Amino acid sequence: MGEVIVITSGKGGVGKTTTTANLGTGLASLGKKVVLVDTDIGLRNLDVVMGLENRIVYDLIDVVEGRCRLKQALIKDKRLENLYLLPANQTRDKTAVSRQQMIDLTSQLREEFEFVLIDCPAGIEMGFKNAIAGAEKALVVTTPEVAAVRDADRIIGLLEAAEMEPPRLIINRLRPEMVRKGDMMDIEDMLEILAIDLIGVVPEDQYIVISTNRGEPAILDKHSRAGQAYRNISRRLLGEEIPFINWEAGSFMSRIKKLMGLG
Amino acid sequence: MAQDCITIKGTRGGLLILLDASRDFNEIKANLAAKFAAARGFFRGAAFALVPTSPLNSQETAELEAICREHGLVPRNDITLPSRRRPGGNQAAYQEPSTSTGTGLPTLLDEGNLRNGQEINYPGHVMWLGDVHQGATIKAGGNILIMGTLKGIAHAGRQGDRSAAIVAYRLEPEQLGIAGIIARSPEQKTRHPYPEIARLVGTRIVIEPYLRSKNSRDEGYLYSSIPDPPAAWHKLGPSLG
Repeated sequence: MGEVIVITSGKGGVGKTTTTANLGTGLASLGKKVVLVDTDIGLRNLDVVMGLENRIVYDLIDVVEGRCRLKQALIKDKRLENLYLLPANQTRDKTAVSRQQMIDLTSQLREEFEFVLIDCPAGIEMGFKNAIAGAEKALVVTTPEVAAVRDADRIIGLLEAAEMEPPRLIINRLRPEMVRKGDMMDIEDMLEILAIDLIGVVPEDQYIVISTNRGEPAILDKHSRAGQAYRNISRRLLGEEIPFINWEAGSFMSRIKKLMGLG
Repeated sequence: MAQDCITIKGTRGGLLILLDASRDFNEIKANLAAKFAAARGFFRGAAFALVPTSPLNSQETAELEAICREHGLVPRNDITLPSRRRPGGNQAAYQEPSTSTGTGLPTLLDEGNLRNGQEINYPGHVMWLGDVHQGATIKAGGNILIMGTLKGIAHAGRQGDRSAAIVAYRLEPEQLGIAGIIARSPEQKTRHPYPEIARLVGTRIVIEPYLRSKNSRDEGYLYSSIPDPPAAWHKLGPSLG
């Protein structure tokens, strides 16, 4: 039985879809059988970020409404053998699927896959409720901005009220040089405000824009800083103890640490 | 028994036996007896109180108490524990758990992090063990005591009790209210590393160190009042100090 993990944030644009694509790719490249589920019905993106948009024939709604079998709707990744995508429908909206349908769907998927990663839409409405319905774990993505952290707090409250496992935090788009100058919230500030465990910090990386446009997750690029962070998070998801890269300590230190194999 | 319908929690006052009242009563009974049997007299002599998720009828209560007595437990009704229930999405409607106090108002005791968008609205006193985050609100008919950092909003004395106070281990609120008088914290956020108390003096909310002797140099300061929210956000009022 696989794990069902929802990737959520509350606020839009903080990197849920990018995180889902990268962690899914990361787990798959570590040999796990993974499926990514895009629950952002009507505003699907995950297929684009994965570079699979031209392969969609059936989608999540077709599955829950019985127009196709689950297997028919799963799109195989073009790079990794054991990675699949269940795309969202683009013509309907969030009300097209119910919580019970999501629970049924995820329980079907977890029999087949070791990891079911659910890309949650922004907001706290029906789309969010559907996305978390079948999940037992959650990763909350935030950026070092007051508004994003505030929304993350709201989301964590809702996840706790739904009696899920304590969610873990991904801090995305951290800019170490701004933190050092005191112009950006640091990791400690965010952890103090949100009071949950950290699973990873992803630094700002221009390569993400390039990789997203190309439909190639950054995690596949050895030189991408964000890709490195995502690789570490993937391994932490498998229960490995990977030391945190100290992005805030300065590039020199982080390079030394990398040389020492701590990065 | 797919899932336990009984949880036993130890507290300073004794054992709290939490019962999932939605389950079949016979199942609860059997489960309770099984728990004690498995504990082999471990609970003997302990005080206990039954805490069903919804009220049981008197006969059911008596039957369960009888089982507890059989295993050497002593009933006691004044055991309280911070409820582990999480406040719901937007609003948590609290009826119980509560205990009566000298002033006649019941007290809500709960723990955890009250997060953005969550609200506690309780007619009595509220004692919160944990932080109250920005965007979270506690409204109480009586006093509010926060054993943590108050960064959100607290309104005490909602029914007009001007003697109500708000005490926090760390007081860094967005807004305070006592008996309908609302004030916001100074624009210049200052963190005081000691517990503070907010009280109503005249028509203004005054903040003082909770332990006066230790911090006697601080003479208290005022929060800027908001006479008719949200019409006007006044500039900082003059400080007493």
